[in-house]
Amino acid sequence: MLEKLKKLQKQANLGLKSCNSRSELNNWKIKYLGRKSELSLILKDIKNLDPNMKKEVGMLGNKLRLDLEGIYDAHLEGLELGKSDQSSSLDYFLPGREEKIGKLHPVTQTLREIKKAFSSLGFQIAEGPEIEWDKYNFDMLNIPEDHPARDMWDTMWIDEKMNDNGEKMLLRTHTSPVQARIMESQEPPIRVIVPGKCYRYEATDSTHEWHFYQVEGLAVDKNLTFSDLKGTLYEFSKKMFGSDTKIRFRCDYFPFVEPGVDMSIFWEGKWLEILGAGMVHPKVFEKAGYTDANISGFAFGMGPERIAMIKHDIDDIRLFYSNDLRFLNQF
Amino acid sequence: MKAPINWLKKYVDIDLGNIDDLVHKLTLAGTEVGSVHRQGNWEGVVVGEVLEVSKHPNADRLNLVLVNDRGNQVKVVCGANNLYEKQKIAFAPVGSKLYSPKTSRMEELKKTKIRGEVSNGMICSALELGLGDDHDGIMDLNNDLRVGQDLKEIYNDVIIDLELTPNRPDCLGMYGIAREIAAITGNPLKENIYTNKIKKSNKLNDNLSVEIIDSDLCPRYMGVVISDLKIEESPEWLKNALISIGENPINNIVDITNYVMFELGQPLHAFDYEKVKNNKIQVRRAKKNETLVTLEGTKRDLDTTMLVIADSASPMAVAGIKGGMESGISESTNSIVLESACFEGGNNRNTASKLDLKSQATLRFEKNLKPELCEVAFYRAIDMILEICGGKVSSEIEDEGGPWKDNTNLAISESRINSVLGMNSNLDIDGIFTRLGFTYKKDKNGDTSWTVDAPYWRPDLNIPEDLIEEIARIEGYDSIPAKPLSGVIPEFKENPILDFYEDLKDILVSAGFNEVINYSADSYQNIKSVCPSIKDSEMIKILNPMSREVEYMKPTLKSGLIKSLNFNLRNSSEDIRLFELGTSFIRSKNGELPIQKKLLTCGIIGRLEKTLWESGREIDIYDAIGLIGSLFNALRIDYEISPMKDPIFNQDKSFKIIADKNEVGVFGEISKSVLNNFEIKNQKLILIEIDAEKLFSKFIPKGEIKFTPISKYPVSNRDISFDISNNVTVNLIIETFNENPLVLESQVIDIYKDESIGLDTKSVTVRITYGSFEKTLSGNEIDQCEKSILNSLKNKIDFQIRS
Repeated sequence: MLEKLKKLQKQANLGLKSCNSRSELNNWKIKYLGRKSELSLILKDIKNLDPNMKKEVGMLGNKLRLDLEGIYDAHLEGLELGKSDQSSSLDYFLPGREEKIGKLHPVTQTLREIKKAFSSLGFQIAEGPEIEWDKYNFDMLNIPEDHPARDMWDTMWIDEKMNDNGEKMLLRTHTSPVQARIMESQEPPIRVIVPGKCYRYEATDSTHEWHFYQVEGLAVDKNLTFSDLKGTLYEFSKKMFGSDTKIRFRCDYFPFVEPGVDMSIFWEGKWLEILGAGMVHPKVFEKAGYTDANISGFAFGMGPERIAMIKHDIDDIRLFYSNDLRFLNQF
Repeated sequence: MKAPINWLKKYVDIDLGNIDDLVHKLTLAGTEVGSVHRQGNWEGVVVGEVLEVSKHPNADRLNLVLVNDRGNQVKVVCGANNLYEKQKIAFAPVGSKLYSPKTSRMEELKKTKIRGEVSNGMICSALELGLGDDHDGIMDLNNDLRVGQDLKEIYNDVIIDLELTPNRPDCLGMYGIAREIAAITGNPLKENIYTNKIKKSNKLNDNLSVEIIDSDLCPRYMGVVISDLKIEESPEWLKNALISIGENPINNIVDITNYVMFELGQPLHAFDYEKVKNNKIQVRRAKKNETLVTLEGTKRDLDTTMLVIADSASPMAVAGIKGGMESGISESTNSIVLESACFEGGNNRNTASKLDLKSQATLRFEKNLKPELCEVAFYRAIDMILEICGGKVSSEIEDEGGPWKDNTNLAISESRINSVLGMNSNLDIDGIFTRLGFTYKKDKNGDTSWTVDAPYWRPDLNIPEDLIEEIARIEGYDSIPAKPLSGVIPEFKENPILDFYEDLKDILVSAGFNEVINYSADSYQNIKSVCPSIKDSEMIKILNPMSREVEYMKPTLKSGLIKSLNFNLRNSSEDIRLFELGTSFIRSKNGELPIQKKLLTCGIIGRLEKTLWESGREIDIYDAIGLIGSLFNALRIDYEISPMKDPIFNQDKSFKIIADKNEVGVFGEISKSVLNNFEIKNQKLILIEIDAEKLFSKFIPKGEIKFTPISKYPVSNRDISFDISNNVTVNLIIETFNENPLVLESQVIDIYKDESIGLDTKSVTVRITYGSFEKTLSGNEIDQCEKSILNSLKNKIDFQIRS
């Protein structure tokens, strides 16, 4: 009898596994738990067994019934759940119901990274006009007319002749004029970065665009030094390129700073120029009307496209303004 | 600036085995080395000799050349036209290797057949050997060379190409570069080039008078007559020196003036003395209508701002830019006037740019060379002329001009140096100044200070900070410590509009739009197409645009976005959704800077293709209406839309967006004529353009938002279907419901049209959400409420309720 119960258990378990629908499960229930099921008959017949067997078969039989009821419930639950998401036929490789999400332009993304890095150093963000007076773009930055340094910025002009104030309109060649505008209207201390579009009359190729972005930075305070400049740009580079980035400073020339700096990072085996910088030239302070001899400061400028190109292995700057989604969607 | 190491080694010791280190040091100290070129990128090329030249039987332009190749006679086919018998040539025999720019590899030369004739090697041009840019003919080697000599023995120079900054005209001469190398390596400068061994002839037969009329543009002019000289080819070493920096040798006098310019950085000029009328030189501004035919044969119209070197009658040269043809050196010249002068940089630069004559002379003069330099170069050139061309000095040396400010004294103290650099260590300032060749006085009382006499070769040293840079760069920027930014963090000044712009971008991105950034300029035609009402006087033309395609600054971003949409449609199977947030430009009337406003422009093109879940459909104006709704909702700005007329949009699909009674934007379906202009066919294009600055003025910053309490009681939704005339807009129903205080929200959830309800009727289903702050509304209360709303709606429109 005990053997019979064990055999029954095996059969019931096996039978349940092949139940894939409710009706099959129902049949199974009738077969193993129904009034006329073998188990019911055994339990009904228990009273006719001899006392020794009675107890043992009774215990085992009732336990089996509870077990079978338990696995029935569990299987039923599984079937119900499966039905709601078509369990057995669910193909989760099918496309879901998609919500389209766009992407920010890689220049915007890089600008945000730069802004974030400098915000944490107490720098604020400012903007200025893209069509600008030559006074701000050049003269106030210690780049007088006729100066050969003007060759560093091939200019696109709007005005042919000077106006009554002796000014000419141009497309700003860098975001540095905003430096002059800020100092003209604001007293130190100043910590500011200026992102924006710039324009240069320059033949385009894989590393040159006539239309590009720049981020200018300026810090002015009492007793700022070359060491502060280095420390700030170190900090920025670590945030931007990773904390173990190797950085190199070399002498360079920009008319609005002295000493002038070019900063490179060591990237994939090469030194790559990242930004120009320097201590604000005394003539720039003079033109801005800062007369306090204890006031000093530093300025820097960088191209977000170049930074993005380095970080993402982009080999052609023209891709940024081609607005090809096959490019834009990669970032 | 190309600098051959062999030339530099005349003045300073350079370790050829360690050029990389030198390049590194130069670059760190401010003179960036762009590239390093090592001569001798070949194997097995030797000196050969031309034995015989004859025409190729089957090709007019080719020659058959019999060449002496290491004692053997070999036949070669060659296309050059400067071949002659007994000429020494650079010969690449079969089996030698040459660098091929095509494959960027060394390629072995093989025996070939050219037009039926066998060629056993190649006679090389300078270009083919990487020794110059000249490809007009083959290299014409010095006749003294031995046949069979390895060409590497003759050409073994290393040429470094310097990318100079405009503040360092001293490095526009080899001697200046050598001086820089001496300063950064500590090796001493070797040759003293200032010795002047001038032998004047006893009898000075020739007269020369120099008069500086416009002394503001010419602080110094030195001139002398040298006579009885012979104009001929320069000696080999001089020619090679010029060739090594990419200059073409011309004749000995011109070559010497060029050589001295490339050695010392001072441009010189020589006139044919016979052509100087009345032996008189005047330095003056050009007169009205004066002209000059310059050396290369172009007639130049001069204006009265331009400085010329004239004789008693007319201009002989544009001062410091280009000589005249008439007074130039020719083979028949036998006496010259040598000029070494100093010209004002700004005027020189302006004149050169007006005449479009950017010469090597201007490259130097525009940087305001100092008057002392012309004296050094003057005597150097005289020495070389007497030695190479013979002749004698046959006039007094004329030295006009001055007194110029003799020197610039710059004072700097140790504490100032430390306070700019931010370091306290004791630098060897004396040593640095000495290495740079500066003369200085030192005052050790208290704060040590130095007074430096800025040397004549460094016109860029004008203020004490310039000396600090010298100290820092020689010491090395890397040795200056870096420290965290000190000082007060400035008071935070919010710039909320910049944050707002970034918020706008984020919203558009989350609505499925990709950001693009277009050029700020476009063609006249494209701008007019999307902005037909703009007057030409409001448009901003770039005087020197990159091309006509980008000639005008854009008053709207529409044209750029249309182009981007169309461009991407070609590579996509889906609808394209793009936006741009950028600046627009409109000329202002009062002569001020243009109005430069930020616009947000969004566009959709293409079809929503069928997908697994959605059936496909055309894009339409409701895509725009929906986006505007989502955007304004996200920004918490109330708005309305209303129809308007704008020829760029289709007539019945042209709208403006109004917020707080102001128009803040427009949208619509782009008209066919505009689409035609951009060559877009069979596509709908929906465009929205919003004035982002105006929008910001309607925006309530997050900080000012006050919380509205939320009702504790549940809400009830009811759907009602109205049959209304096609002419009736749904806002009348929605607004009427919304007027009732118990209606929390009402929205159209279905529109149905069918013949059964009549062709001029539509069935609109509205879902109304009822709720109260005081209690849970009973069905009865809602019925009452609905009844009263429908009653008041009856006064406005005709409708039937569908059950």
